[in-house]
Amino acid sequence: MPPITRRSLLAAGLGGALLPAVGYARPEGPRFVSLDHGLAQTLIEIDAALVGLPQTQYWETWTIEPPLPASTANLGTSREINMEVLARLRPDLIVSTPYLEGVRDRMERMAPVESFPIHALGKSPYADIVAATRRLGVLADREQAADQLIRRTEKTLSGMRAAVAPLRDAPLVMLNFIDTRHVRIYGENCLFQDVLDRLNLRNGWSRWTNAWGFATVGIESLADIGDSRVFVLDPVPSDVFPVLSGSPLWQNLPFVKAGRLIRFPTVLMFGTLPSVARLARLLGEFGARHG
Amino acid sequence: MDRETRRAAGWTALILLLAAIATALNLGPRLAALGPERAFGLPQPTDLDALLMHYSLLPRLAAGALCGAALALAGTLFQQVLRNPVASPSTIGVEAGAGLALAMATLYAPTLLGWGRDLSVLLGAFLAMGIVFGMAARFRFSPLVVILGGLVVGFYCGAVTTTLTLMHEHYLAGLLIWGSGSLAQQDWRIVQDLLPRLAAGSLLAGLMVRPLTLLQLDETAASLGLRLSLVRLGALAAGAALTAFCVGAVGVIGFLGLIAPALARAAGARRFATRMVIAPLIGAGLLILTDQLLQVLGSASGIFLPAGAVTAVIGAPAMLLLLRRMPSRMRPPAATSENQGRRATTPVLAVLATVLLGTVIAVTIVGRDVDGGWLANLGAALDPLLAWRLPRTIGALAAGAMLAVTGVILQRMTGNAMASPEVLGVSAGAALGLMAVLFILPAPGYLTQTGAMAAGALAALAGLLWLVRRARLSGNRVLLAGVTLGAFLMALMSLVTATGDPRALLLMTWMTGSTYAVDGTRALIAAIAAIAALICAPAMSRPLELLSLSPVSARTAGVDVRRTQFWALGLCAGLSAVATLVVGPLSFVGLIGPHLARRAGLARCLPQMLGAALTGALLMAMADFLGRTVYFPWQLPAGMISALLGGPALVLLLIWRPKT
Repeated sequence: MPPITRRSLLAAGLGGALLPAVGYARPEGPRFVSLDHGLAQTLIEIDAALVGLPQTQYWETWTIEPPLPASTANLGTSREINMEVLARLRPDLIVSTPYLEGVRDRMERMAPVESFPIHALGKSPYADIVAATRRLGVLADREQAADQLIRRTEKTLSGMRAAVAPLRDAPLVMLNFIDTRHVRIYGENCLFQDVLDRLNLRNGWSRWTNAWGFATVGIESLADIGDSRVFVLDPVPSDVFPVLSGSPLWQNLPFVKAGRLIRFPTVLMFGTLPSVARLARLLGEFGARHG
Repeated sequence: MDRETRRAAGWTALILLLAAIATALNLGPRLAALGPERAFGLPQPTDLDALLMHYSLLPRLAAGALCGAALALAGTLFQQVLRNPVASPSTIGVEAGAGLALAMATLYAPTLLGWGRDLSVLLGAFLAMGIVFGMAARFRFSPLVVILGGLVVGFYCGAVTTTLTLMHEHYLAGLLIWGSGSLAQQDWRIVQDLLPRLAAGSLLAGLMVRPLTLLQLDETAASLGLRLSLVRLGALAAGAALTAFCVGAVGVIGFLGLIAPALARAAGARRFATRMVIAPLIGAGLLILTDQLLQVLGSASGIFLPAGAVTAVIGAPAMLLLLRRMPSRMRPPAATSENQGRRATTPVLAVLATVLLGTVIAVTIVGRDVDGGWLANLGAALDPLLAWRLPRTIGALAAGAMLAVTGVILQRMTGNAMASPEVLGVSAGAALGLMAVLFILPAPGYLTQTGAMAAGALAALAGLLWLVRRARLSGNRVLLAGVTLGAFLMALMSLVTATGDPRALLLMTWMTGSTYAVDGTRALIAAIAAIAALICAPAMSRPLELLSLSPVSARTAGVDVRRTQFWALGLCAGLSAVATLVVGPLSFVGLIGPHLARRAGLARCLPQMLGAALTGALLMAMADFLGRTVYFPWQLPAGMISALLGGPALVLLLIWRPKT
């Protein structure tokens, strides 16, 4: 017997007659398949019905918030969506990114496809994320929920402005370790930059970044960022810190010496408003703890 | 110092001067600001500029010098032992074997450092070299077979590495950087580890200069009591070890080991002993030059380009120039001479056809449910799925058949057992077309992508036919030119992927041979082409059969050899272009199918073609099914699976043969 949860009780009490044959509560409205984790974040947040998503097993590693409904089917890799699974799911609508234009015509045979260019445009993604949120709200028949999400995110951003005040004494850098010699560092064109701007925080990396908002650089380039606070996003390859601890250059980088190296939970860099809120909140919590 | 040595020394000095200028351009301003004491003394912990110089820029310079010299030395050794001007770590599979071993070590033993890691890389390098030589031994190390085998093994290792990379997305970026050889350093440890290893390898090489020089004169050397095979083995081991250490330390520095010895030769260093000194100097100079200029470019634009991928992009085309220097005495391995195990053809073909039919029915019905359970779909349940399964299966069948027929034609025509459409360069052309359109247009649709691939394939085809007509390259050299195009493509790929551009992943996925993109139209086109090929085959089989006996007997029988070659190549290029659009450039079916057919006892041309078509179709259909189901809901590329299944089988077929 399945455990009785608040949600199942609620569903049984309120929606008994309306429940579909599946037997458990599902949000109503059109059934979405999202081919992108970022768009899926918004769909879940506005309580749209998300039935399928590629590489669900990476959600816990890279996306994290909001929690992925357990009923979401895994569609395989994002480069090659499993068409048979997609066909069996019979979605009403498929939302995607321009990354998958190559297979669009075949997906359109199963359901209408709407593509959202958000990242990789070589500009700040925030306005496009807000526009996409509104559009997803319309598509899911959840316009109010979408508006609420936008307002909620703006509120989180303004609410955290005070909490991050202790972090304004130094610039801030966000990066991922690729291997023991290279990092991916985030700047202009990245969602992270938008969050920093809205929190009145300064990014310590002002050099070139690509259209996706990151640059691949050798660790020696980190000498340029001075004593910025460095947020190392999870996950970090297991050999990175053992190797770097023996490097005199690394040990003497200002931010390492000053103890300003921070292991930080990851935030989906190609995400949508839930990513924005998550980063703002995590920074706020960090600021409050270290104020 | 004689005139020859002076000339070679002059050119070497010029390259070193250029490297010095590039270094001055990159490091000069910093050094001037630091002053000698801060730049070269032990830096104060607070002096960040000095730390950067001491622990990043200087070790990077040293790593470039060491790896450049070591790879050039390895190339010189390989060229001398194999008496082959195109031999190098990149062209005899050593480098790719080391790269694959490194990728596996990174994935499955990420904390493995020091000797453990070195040993695994060494093992990979030796294994790859052993396989290449195992295949080439039968052909008395004909330079052509060594290079063709080496590049094919290289592609194979590269394809496996790519698949591993795509299956482990967390490590993706790191693996891609290793594959493209970045020289970035954070302290002296890599250099410190590298120095004694390379010194030992160089010492071993130095001890062998005299016996290796004598090696040029087989009889003399033998009469002097030299243990020829021991010297050869020692030199090859030294070369492989030098390569493996470099790959383990900084990643794959493509084609440097080819260019540097070639330049040494071009500069006039005719004697082996001279080349052993000059080539490493040129190699060090070239790698420093490349890396320093890339650093200048990087700090000006912010774009990260690893040196190894850049040397490969420059070096692969240089191979085309070197092809003309290939010794003309090459005796290609006879692919068709033996008639062993010949059987009545009809029963063999009937059995193959029955197995194929059964397999097609099975793979069409069986699939997996959303939750992963296996099921056989019948009747109404099958209908909606057919739209997805049938095109893939038909496409795979057609592509497998076409590639295998192409393989038979090429092997018969060139008389070379290693000939296959994968090495013809047409697939590489298609891939380059796709790459261009992915990176030039913002969001290319399906039609645009297909069109670009076809255009690329056609351009490569035109180039090939031009080579045959104008440059009078014989069949085997055309194959080498094709392989070179493939190597250039791989180099360009690793350059693009190293920058972290997500679009490169789409291309990598296709390169591994996915049938994913096959839809009804594409399957139909492939099927029509395959049927047309099977209809054309009988017309081709008589002249080919005569040609594979010998061009002379073909001519006396009234075959226009040049014309036959031209049309046969044209047919092959067209077929492999269509097939490549379906299963990608690296399935190896065109190499495996003909051999399997001949082993099944189909010795004559037409039966071999039909048998190869059936075998190729069977292999691809099974590969597609396995790719669709075993790792559900993820899909493994069919081309990759057919290569994984068929590659080892092929090696066994080529190395061990039944006694007659």
